[in-house]
Amino acid sequence: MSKKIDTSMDISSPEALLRTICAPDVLPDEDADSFAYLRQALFQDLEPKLPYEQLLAEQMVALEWDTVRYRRLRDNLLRSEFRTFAKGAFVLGRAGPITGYRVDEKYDAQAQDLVAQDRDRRQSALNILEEKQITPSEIMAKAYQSIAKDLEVFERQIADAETRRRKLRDDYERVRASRPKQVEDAEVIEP
Amino acid sequence: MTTERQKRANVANAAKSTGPRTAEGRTRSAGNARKHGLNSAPLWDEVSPYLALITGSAQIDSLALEARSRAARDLAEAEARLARCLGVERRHVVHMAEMAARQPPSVKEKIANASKETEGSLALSEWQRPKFSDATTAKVKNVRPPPDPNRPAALHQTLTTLMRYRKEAEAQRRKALRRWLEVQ
Repeated sequence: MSKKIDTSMDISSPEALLRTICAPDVLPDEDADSFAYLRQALFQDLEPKLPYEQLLAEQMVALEWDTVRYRRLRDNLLRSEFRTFAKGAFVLGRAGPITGYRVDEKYDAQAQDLVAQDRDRRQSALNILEEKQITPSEIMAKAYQSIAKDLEVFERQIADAETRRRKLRDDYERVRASRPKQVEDAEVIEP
Repeated sequence: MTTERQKRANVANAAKSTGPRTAEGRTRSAGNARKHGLNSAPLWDEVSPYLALITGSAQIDSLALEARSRAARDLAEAEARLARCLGVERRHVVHMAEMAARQPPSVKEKIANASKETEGSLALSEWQRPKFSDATTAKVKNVRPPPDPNRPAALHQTLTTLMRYRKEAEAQRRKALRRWLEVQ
């Protein structure tokens, strides 16, 4: 009895198979070009030749992309919490969340300014904070403390990715070392 | 102790309910204990692309117990299982990020939002405790609602479980790869 591959799948080439089973996992808010660049850079470094080597290389790309994603999610979460706590600092004079009453829009704007790219806006927000004797580090520390449990998920994944990357690279090197070696100037001698 | 009458009633009741009868019902009940399927053997459709990549062939003689084809099949199965675990874990972490960003509003925030909408007249019905008058509804109030599957503790617990399955799948893959390289 022999089993055949699923006919709905394109098996014309290893590349087609890899495209099917290793489709890029890019979320809507992620940059597909960055993913393509990362993939290209890693493939240039690894130079996979055999189809299975290519599969392992694709897995390494996915792992690197996961790490980038988890860092981004962690930073976004922390930034959002920082803004919430900064608003508290502007309104209440202490870093913390505000609940229970409406907040004037100007405080929202000041909290946004604190993380703005524009240097002048950032400086003016920092000056207001200085008057209230609060430092951005203090706000950041309190924001971090408040969502430490949520951030732990990403920290754990990022730390875990390092071990996985090392092991995957070892596997790749082992597969590469087992690649049949080509003998140059070899001739086939007919018996 | 069970009385004779109770025994007879048990037998009579058991005869009325003998489980699913149709093929569809039996198939459905066969999966009753299934939680996520991460431990189950991958389907042939999931395995075959990996096998093609490993051996360069789209076919395998599944009855041949030759060491090379067995090692290739094991490696393909391990790859398919790992891919399944990784996909589930990835989606779960992204879901956790979404849940962490979407913090539920506190009661005070609800009041503040309500006052924005109704200009001072608070819609108290939302947080007023329901009044129970008769005995039947009084019983109902003691029924606890099922716990929210998106609560942080549950999400963390699920992630720990998913990571464990993924690590097992990785170990299985490494072992299968070692065997595959030995028979090369």
